[in-house]
Amino acid sequence: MPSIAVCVKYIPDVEQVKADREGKLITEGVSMRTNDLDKNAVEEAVRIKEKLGWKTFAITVGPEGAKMALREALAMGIDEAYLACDEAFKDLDTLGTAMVLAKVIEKAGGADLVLCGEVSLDSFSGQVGPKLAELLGVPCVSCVRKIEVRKGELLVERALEDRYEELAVPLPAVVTVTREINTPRIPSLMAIMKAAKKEIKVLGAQDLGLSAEELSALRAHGLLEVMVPPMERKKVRITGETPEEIAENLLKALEEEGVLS
Amino acid sequence: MAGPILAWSEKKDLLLELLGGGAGLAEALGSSLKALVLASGPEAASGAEELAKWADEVLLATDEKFSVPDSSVFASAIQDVARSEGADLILIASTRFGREVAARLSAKMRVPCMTGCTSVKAEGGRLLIERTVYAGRAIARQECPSLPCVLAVAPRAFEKPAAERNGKVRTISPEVPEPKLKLLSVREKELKGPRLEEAEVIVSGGRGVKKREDFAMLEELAKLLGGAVGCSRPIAEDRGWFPEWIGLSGRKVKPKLYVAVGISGAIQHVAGIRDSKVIVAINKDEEAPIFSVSDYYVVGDLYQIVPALIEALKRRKGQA
Repeated sequence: MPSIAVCVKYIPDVEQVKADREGKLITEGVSMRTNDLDKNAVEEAVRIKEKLGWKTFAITVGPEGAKMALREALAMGIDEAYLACDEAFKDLDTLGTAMVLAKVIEKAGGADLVLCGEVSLDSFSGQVGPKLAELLGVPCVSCVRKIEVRKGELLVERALEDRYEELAVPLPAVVTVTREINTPRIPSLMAIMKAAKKEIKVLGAQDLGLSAEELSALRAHGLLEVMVPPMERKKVRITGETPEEIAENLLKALEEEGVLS
Repeated sequence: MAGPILAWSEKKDLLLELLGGGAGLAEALGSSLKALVLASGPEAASGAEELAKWADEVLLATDEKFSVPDSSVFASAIQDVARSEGADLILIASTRFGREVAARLSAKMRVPCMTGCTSVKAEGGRLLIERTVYAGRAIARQECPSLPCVLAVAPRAFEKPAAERNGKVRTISPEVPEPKLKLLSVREKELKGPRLEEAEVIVSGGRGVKKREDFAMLEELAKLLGGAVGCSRPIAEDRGWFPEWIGLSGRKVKPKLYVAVGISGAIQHVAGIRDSKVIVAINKDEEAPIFSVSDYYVVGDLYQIVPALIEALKRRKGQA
C-alpha cells in the first residue's frame, strides 16, 4: 500500500505573540498550536487515505510537548505518528530539520508522497519542504491548491503570484500545500480520545543514525534579534445615531486627516 | 575581495531589482555583479542585452528544459554556474517559485539560505538581513553566517538600478538535468486595473461582503474617493472573485487611505497594509481585530454604512 508522510510543526500562536518594552518579541507564555497550513496538509493526506486507502503517518521534530501536534493529526485520521526528539535537534536550521525528517521517513519505510504546509507561520521561510525533496532526491512542487492522485503520479495545481500551473508530478514527491486546498476537519471528541491512547514513536539522533557533530553544523545560526514593529494607530470609534450621521462624522475625520481628495 | 554576486529570477522585472540592490552590495563587498538568465528559447533570451547595461556581465543559458517550472532543474543549473563562477552571494527573487529554487539550491550547495528578505545590507564586512516572521507580526534581524550563501529577496525590497555598469552578454551552457515534472497547462490570472501598490486610496472588501455583485458598491465608493478596489485573501483564493489580494502573501500596499470593509483583520492581512497612512475599518463585529490597527472605525453593518458614505460623498461633490 502506498504511504503518505505529513510533516507538522508545533509553533507559538502567532496571534498572541507580544513585544517587551524594547520591542523584542516575547513567545514565553504564549500558547502553542499546530501550524495552520500543516493542518491543511494533514487533511489532504486523510482525504487521500479515505479515498484510496493509502497508509498515512505524521512526523514532527520538536520537544516532548510537540506530541500535541501529532495527537491532533491522529485525531484527524492519520494512522501513525513519529516524534523526532533530541537535545541535538534543538535550534536546527531548515536543512537540519529536513535532514531529521528525511531520516524518519526512511526509518518508517519510506513515503510515496510527502505533504507539508507551504510555510510555517513562525519562521516563515518555506524552505523545509523543498530541502526535504532535495535530500530525498525527489521532485517538489510548492504552493499547491489542488491534488488529484493518478496511477504513479499526481496532477496538481500550483498557485503562483500571477498564474496557476497544472503539473504532472511523478511519485515519490514532496508537495507543499496552501490554505485554500481544503478546510481541515475538526475531530470529534471520540476521535480525540482515541488518538490520546495511540502510540507515538519517539526517535532520537542515535535511532536515526545522526551524529551530534553532523547536526551541530546545522544550527539555526545568524539570528541577532526578533523585533515587533510598533503599529501605532489612533483607534477612534466613529459613532452616530444613523448610518448617515456616521458617514458624515467619518468623512469629517478623514477631511481633517487630509486624505480626502 | 569576495567572489561575484550572481542574481537570478524567473521574472525579468524582479531580476532588474536584484541588480539594483546587488549594485550596492557589490560595492560594499568588492565583488562583481553578474545576472543569470535561464531562458527556454530565443524569446526568453531576448532581454539579456538590455540587462547587461545594469550588470558587469550577463550569463545567458538557453535550454528548452527551462520551459518546465521544475525547481530541481533550475537549482541544478544555478549551482553549476555558481560553482564555475565562484559566486559568493546568490540573489534570487523571493517569489513562490524563486523561494523553492533558493531552498533547493542551498540544500544542494550545503550553504545557508534566507528567504523573504526585506532588507539586505553589507556593513563592515557583515551581511545583515531583515526578514518578516510570525506571519508578518515581527521582523527577524539576521547575520549571514558564512559565504557563499543564498538570499531570496522579497519583491520591491530593492530599487531598480540607477547606475549603468555596461557589461556584456556571455553565452554559457551549464549542466541542466531532465525535468521530472510535466507542465500541462497554465492559466494566467487576469490582473487588471491600476496597480494596487500605486493607488492613493484603496477600498478593500473581506468576508463580510456577501456576494460578488456587492463589490459594485465598494467600487463606487473607491471611485468617489479616487482610488482602487482590493480584497482580502479569502475573497480571492477561497471564493475566487478576484485574481489577487492584499496581505503578506499577496500585495503589500501603502496608500494614503485604506478602507477595510467587512475585513476581520488577520495578521497576514494587516502585514500587507501596515504602511498605510490612515486606516479605516467598517465591521459589524465589535471584537474584530482590525479595529485595533485602525485610525477610525465604525461598528456597524457595511450594507448600511457604505451606501451612506456613497451618498454623503455624492452630496459633497454636488456642492463643490
